[in-house]
Amino acid sequence: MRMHAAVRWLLIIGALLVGFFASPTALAVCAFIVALAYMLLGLGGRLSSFLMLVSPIVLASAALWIFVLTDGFDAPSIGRAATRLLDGDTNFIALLRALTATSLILIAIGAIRDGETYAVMRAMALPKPAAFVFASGAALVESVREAVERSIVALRAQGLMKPTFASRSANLGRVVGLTWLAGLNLIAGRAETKWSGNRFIDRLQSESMKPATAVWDSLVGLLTFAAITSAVALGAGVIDGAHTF
Amino acid sequence: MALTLFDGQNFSGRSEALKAFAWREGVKGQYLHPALEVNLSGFATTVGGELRLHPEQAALPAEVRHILDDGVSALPETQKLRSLSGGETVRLIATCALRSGAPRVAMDCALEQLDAETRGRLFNGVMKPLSASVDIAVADNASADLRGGFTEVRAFGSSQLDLNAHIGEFTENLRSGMVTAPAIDLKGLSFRYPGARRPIFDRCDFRLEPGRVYLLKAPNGAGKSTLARLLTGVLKPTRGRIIVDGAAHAPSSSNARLFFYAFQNPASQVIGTSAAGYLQLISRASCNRSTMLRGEWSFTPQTIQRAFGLDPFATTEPFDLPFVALKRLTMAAALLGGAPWLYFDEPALTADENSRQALRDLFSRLCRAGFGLVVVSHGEEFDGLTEAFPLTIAEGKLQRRVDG
Repeated sequence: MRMHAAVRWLLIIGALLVGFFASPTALAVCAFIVALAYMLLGLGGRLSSFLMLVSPIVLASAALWIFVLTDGFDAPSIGRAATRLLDGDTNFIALLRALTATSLILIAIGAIRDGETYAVMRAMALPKPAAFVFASGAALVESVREAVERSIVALRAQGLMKPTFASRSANLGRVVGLTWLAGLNLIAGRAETKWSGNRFIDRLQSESMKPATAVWDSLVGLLTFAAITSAVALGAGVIDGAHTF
Repeated sequence: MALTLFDGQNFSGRSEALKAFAWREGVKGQYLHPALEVNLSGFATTVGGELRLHPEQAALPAEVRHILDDGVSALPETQKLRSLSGGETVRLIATCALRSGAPRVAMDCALEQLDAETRGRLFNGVMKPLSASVDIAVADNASADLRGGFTEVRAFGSSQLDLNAHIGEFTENLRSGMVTAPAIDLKGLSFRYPGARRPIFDRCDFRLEPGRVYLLKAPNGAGKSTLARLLTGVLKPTRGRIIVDGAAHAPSSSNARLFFYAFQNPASQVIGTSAAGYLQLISRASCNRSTMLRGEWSFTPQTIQRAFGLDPFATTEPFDLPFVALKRLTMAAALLGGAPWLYFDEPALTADENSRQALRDLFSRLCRAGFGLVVVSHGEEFDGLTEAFPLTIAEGKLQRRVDG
């Protein structure tokens, strides 16, 4: 996703607004706007992955809170509990706010084109060390799953792990150890060769590497920011007519 | 400006000289490490991302640019870097290095990881013309066909450290028929990754017989690693069976060892705090599991360690081992793993000619001793073995490879 750095900042500000101030109704509107933004930016796959990840948490949380809020064993009322769950500043609403804000931050800095993370972070005026840590960390996180899988393959291929659940559990330490060792080996090698000797980092920092931007992506980002701030403001009663929500 | 061959054996100081050549004070040159992953930036996960991080810094001649672009354009922009084969990674990192505008480029055993055709095209079409404006130095163990193209040759003396000092003696002592490995029949074997459009293996029928070196050469994505994973039981076939000595065998649920798989990048599989410790770990593990290897095979870790020239590295952490010693270490482990079949992925990587000859002799004798070997190699170093059986994967099937 190729968005202007200023728009990325606006989306982060929007996420903070949603996280702290969105009323339940405004939150529902914001969630819809964010989902729409994902679609317009061609990030439908990422949205469904995010929903798959958070849905069990939301559902489990809702179920537990309804259980807690259903007071009285003589005449329990699920409907009343559900109303209380979504009414005002409950912990469940706080969870939904946090997740909606996270989904906005995912648009702002979680969907950067591969290889441009460092340049985007620098364009967002982050200091060089922070941009470096963020860029290498982002690439590392994506490869952790593959690294763990490779370690499991290595242990199985060498006869160090049997095909039983007990063996897999017993060898968890070896999986972690091998993943760690292989990762450390790679990072140390890169530190010497690529980053220090070949001066890749120096060159990256000295050159004005500009991240790609696209008018459509920036426009969608701007409209998303405008829409969610309006929704939060209306929902919070800052603007007249809040009651229409 | 020159195109120089740094000619010498392992441990002769070639690599240090190449680094010094590339990183001499005041020169911001490019050095390509033999462990290919080390040359990737670590800031990207896909081919497109890596190329974006290495924009063209100096105007290249049109023909050179065309060949470089041609080498990487076959790789989809969204292809994950971890899924690249050795040859594809070399094409990518060489492109990044050669278009960096660096005044010096040093390639340490990178060219030998390419097939002969790609190596020739890169050398003659890119490196030779570029050497008019860029100093290029190369260390290569398969450079016989390129030797005439270098403008200079810098020879390095022999090394005091010889990995092959004892391997000949070990190889000589391997008697014919000392072990028995089972024949393996793949019957209608099919495998498809979840969500993949086409199967990697599609009703594949093939018989692997011990006493042969199956030389597997196939393009990236054809299924070389998948075959190893199916045979070691990491993956289950979606259809079909693996028959071992006439009986159905499921490597994914069987405790009996059938294959030992040595990766192309040994750093991904060596575990422990020392080379000797790793060999002991593998040896201990093999004692605790049943095996399909029959016969008299009871070498101690110390014997194998000595035979493979690893005594000087016995207490070295795997982390600090030179790449060529790490490769040796995983091959040594394969002989301690107690498996009747050995699957070696690019075993000759970074090995000098003496080591290649030692490996040829070793593989030949292991076959005669009764083992079964599958060797993945893009080079030609094992082509002349009398036990060699050229193999490829095409249209989802294992089949005899016909070169040319």
